[in-house]
Amino acid sequence: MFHRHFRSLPAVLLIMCAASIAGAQAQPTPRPVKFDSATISGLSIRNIGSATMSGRISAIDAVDENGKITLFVGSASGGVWKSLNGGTTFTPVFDKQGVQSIGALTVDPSNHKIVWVGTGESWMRNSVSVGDGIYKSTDSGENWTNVGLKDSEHIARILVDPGDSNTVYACATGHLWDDSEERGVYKTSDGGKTWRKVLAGANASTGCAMLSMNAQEPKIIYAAMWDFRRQGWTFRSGGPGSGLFKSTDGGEHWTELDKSNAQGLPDKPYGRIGLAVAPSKANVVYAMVESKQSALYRSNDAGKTWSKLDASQYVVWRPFYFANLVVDPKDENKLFKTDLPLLVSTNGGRSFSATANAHGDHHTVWIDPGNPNIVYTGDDGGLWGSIDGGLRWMHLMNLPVSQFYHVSVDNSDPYHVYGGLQDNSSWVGDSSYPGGITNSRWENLYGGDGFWAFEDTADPNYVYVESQGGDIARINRHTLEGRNIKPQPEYKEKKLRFNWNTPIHMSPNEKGTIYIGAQFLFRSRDHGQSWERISPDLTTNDPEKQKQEESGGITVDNSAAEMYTSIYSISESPKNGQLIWVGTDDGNLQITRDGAKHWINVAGNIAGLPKNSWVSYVSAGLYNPGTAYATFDRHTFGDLKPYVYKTTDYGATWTSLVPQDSGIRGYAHVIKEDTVDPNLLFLGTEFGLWISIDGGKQWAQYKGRGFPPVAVRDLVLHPRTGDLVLATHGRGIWIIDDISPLRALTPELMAKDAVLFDTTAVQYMAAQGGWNEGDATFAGAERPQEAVIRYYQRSRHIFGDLKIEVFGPDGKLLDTIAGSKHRGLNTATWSMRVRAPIVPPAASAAFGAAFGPRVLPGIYTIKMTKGDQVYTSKLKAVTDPRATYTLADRRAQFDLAMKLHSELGRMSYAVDSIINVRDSAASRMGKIPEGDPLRAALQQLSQQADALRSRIVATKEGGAVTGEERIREYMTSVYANVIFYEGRPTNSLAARADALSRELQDVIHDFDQLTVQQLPNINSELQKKQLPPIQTFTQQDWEKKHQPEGSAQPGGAPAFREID
Amino acid sequence: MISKRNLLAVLFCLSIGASAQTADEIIQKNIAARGGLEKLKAVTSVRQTLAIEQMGFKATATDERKRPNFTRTSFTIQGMTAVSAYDGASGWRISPFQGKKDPELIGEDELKSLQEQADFDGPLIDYQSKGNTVEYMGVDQVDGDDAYKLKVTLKNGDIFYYYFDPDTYLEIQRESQIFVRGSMRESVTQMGSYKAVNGIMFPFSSESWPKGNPQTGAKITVQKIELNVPVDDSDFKMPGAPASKPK
Repeated sequence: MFHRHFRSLPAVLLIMCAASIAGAQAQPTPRPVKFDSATISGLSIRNIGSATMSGRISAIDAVDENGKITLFVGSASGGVWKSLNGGTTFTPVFDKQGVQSIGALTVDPSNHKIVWVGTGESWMRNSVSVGDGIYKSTDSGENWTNVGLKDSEHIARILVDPGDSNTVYACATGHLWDDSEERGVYKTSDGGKTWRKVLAGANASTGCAMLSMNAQEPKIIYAAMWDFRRQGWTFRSGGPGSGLFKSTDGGEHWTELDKSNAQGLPDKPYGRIGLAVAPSKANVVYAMVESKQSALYRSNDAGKTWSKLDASQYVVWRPFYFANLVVDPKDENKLFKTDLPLLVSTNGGRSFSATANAHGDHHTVWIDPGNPNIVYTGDDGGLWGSIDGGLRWMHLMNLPVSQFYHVSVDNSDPYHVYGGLQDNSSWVGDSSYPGGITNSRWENLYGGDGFWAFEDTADPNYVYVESQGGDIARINRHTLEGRNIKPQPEYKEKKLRFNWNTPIHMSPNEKGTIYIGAQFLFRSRDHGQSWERISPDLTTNDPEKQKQEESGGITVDNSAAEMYTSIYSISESPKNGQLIWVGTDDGNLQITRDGAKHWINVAGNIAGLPKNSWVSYVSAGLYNPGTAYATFDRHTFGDLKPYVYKTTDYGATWTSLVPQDSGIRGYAHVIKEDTVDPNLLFLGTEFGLWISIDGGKQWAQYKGRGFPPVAVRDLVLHPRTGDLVLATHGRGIWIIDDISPLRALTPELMAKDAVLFDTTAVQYMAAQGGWNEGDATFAGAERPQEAVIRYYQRSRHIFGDLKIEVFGPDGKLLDTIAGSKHRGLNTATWSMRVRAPIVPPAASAAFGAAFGPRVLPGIYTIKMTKGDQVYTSKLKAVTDPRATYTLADRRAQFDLAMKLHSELGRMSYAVDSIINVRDSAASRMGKIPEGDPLRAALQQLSQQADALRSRIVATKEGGAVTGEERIREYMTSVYANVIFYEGRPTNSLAARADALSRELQDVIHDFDQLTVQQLPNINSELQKKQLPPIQTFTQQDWEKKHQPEGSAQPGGAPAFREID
Repeated sequence: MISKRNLLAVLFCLSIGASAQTADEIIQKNIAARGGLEKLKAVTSVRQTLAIEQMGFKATATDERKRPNFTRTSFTIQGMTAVSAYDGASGWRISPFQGKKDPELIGEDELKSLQEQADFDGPLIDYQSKGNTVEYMGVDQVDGDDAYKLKVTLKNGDIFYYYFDPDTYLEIQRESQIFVRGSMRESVTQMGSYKAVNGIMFPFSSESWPKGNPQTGAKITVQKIELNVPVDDSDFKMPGAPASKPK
């Protein structure tokens, strides 16, 4: 409509309009200063993985178009990943949405551009995240719209009518932790605009757990309804609402199938039911029915009668986690059941075999309908592919969706990162590594599910790790020998209540002192050889919440995941070792101020906090002993709001740090003070990272470099580097390198147009690591190797230069660099190198000389010019602390590098001079008739000049590996060896540099001789013929032409000598 | 006294500001912010002199474009000049750094980007006649700051996402999805430091990186832009005849 209208407008109209708009835009009005995402998101962040352990995959769908497989992978808490090449590479395509937990993923079978995502995983373990409804993409997953069911929280399956893209069914599982209305089977007939609940549960705890459709007659649909409930201390799968339903009219009417009308089905009550209609033979229906007679049931007559088939252990256990059946697209008798191993039956479900070697705990399978030998499965360890029908598996090590619970760091350089993951053990990884942090830079330390992990500060050869339920071990970092040091119950004592995610805490005051919490607090000062029980039961000790042996519902499931009335968070005050905070899962917040002699529960002092709220984190203040921060997580009561509090009087009174309209989303996992600025706070919630610069009055969500709204379960500030290290539950470990600009942000500073910050830059040693691993693998970036210059701007820099210049200690301009233009914090990077030497042209490039030597450590001046304003700051360049060489060595290196730099310049001058004479002679020669002696003289001069040139540079061209080396090739090689090791050059290199200089001088001398001997006569003869003389030029003249403005002069090198 | 035509113009402009955005409105505002269609269309050639820095490596480059669809980029190190160019029919390059200085045809995998770069006015101007489609995607964010997002799907299926500064309607970020034999190459470019050259706004600063790998970004600072410089068509043609197509 508008297009047509627009085309008919007179041109003058457009021009007038353009002028008026352009006029209005020339000076954008500055907006009021605000502290928001843009203020802080200009700081860079890097993901260091890992994809070795990857993370739980909950849903897969794919399409095979002529052998090209487009794959969508839904992760439990790390978004949707798309691959256009069958899994060789993936792109996260859901990062801009509000949630990252994926329950269902379906590509429209009749229009592959349409993709549906149901958010909120439905494999209802204790740590499951939540979603916010159903999303639709009409461009193959690139862009998404939330189209409803926003309160469903969990969606298990979406089915699209193969003949009608507008008819879609959603299997909404609904809330896990409380009653909810928005659950059951929903249908849309208008492509998602409106949804109708077509099958409601019998009660408010029943939702849909599975849907399956007859592919030939898509109005025939089967639904598994599931009555379930999780509480912090127990789980129930099954109840009166659970049942198997069938509709033959596209979901408008449903009939429940049970033994009264479907012979062979077991007695009710049922629990969770896995369901699948055979795609190739739609009367064949499989149902894994959780009941008192849990088994696989099969109907060959579309649900009228059923046979009980396999009931082996793997088929029937843990239905809440493993209720998924996938039938081969061509063979109705071949089916997979997701389980600890992926199970396969080739005899129609009579018996199952475990397929081979994947991680385990499978949840989803996709079989290529065009080639059923191609199978993908997702389990707790990530995504796996098979090309032999699921007999053998390849791990796709390119999905960094790892689910960390906690993170810690050590003081190595680069520091290591420690942490534990859901069903993926405890690991140590490099925070930086030359060439990038590949999967192999992470090392497994233990087993099981992992949580807290720490270096033993008293003996860094050891690491403390744990698996679920407090199974703490001390691991030798080198041999990986482990010793279980878990505190044990006393005589006739009932078991110690260790939480699934048992807190371990290292004393900030005493090296090597370690705490672990059950219902009691334990402390060891001898590496776990002995434990002191230093508290009474600090929990409510509510016996009603200690019946885990009855947990599970129809199928008992007591894995420690429901252990309750236990300690969950511990924090010893760094200001006073006698002061310890303990938070429990059942809502006690205890403090001792006398070294654990007396304990006071202060939770009741927190106004507005509901009773028994789970203490997800307590963090003793770093600056005042009376200060502490605590987060409370009430999502296990169905309340997703963040609860964050601070006390400054040892818990007597508390202030909420979640103001009205704070914008904070998601239940809170962790809060910490910065290690330098007490007003700088970091808060991790289920939906991301929030930062406050004013002690919690205002918060902004960090979104730098597309950091997704993933659960930030833990975080740590590195005390040496100022790096913020994030443990995300779904996207691995992320690092914001050096958050010092956040420390500088104040309302006063933010009101300024711009601020340029001082910075310190380490000159990390040049190193090479890693090797090409191809595309199908993950690699995280190493720490910045260049100097990072940071600045703040009140508004986005749209118009005009934003010029950043670097000056040496002598005040000379060294470099001009480019920086980012965001509103808020920005970065520019400086290589700390003087410009590359000028190298004469030759047969091939000398890439080793394409970089300048790195400047000496010292104080440099940064000048930022923005409009008519100039800002300056200092940059302190320091030697890599790991370097073993002295400053004298470094100077020797720099001097030799600059000498070679200068020699290469001299060489370039010489080659240009020679070429000038060669070409001048040749060009004049052409103007002189054959037989003229001058012509012969010019020809000889030209040839002699070229011969001299070929003594300096390699001249054989053609792209073959000629191996030809002359002075240029030798010298650039020496130069590269000198600049990329910054200690004292070897004597051999230094001597070689001298020798090559002399050889160069010899050629220059010969050239000078040539010109001195021949040019006067030749020029005299040329003059007679009225041809211009052949002129030479001086090195000074040449340099004037070849020294670009704003680059370091080789002659400036001595200035660096003053620097320390 | 406002003439009838002027009144119409004022109303037209007001309607843009007041109503909900459409893709066409954003494109018009962007064109206006860049200097207007007439000025843009009047340009016949552009030569940009660029300073490139990437992970400590620096080079200067020249980028020349000429109507209707010629493009040539060259950069020089150590006196050797690499060239990549497209003359509306053939894409070719000279990669001299390993000893072979002969021009060679560019492989089809890389050619597409060059062809798209050769669209002199860019994919927004006259998008309909070029067979491109545009879609306004609403307000999105660039590093936490609001921006208007436009999806541009080229006739060949490649996709560009444009992000416009909401105050000025100038482009601040572009994400590109180039499909190569069914697979995709994604990159991100952020731009700023707009300056007028002959009344047309050009970004004098940009940074590009492969999506998901910002640490390897290449930063480009424009040192000089010359418009309507005489550039011979033959500069864009491959020296010597390109290899004939196999029969």
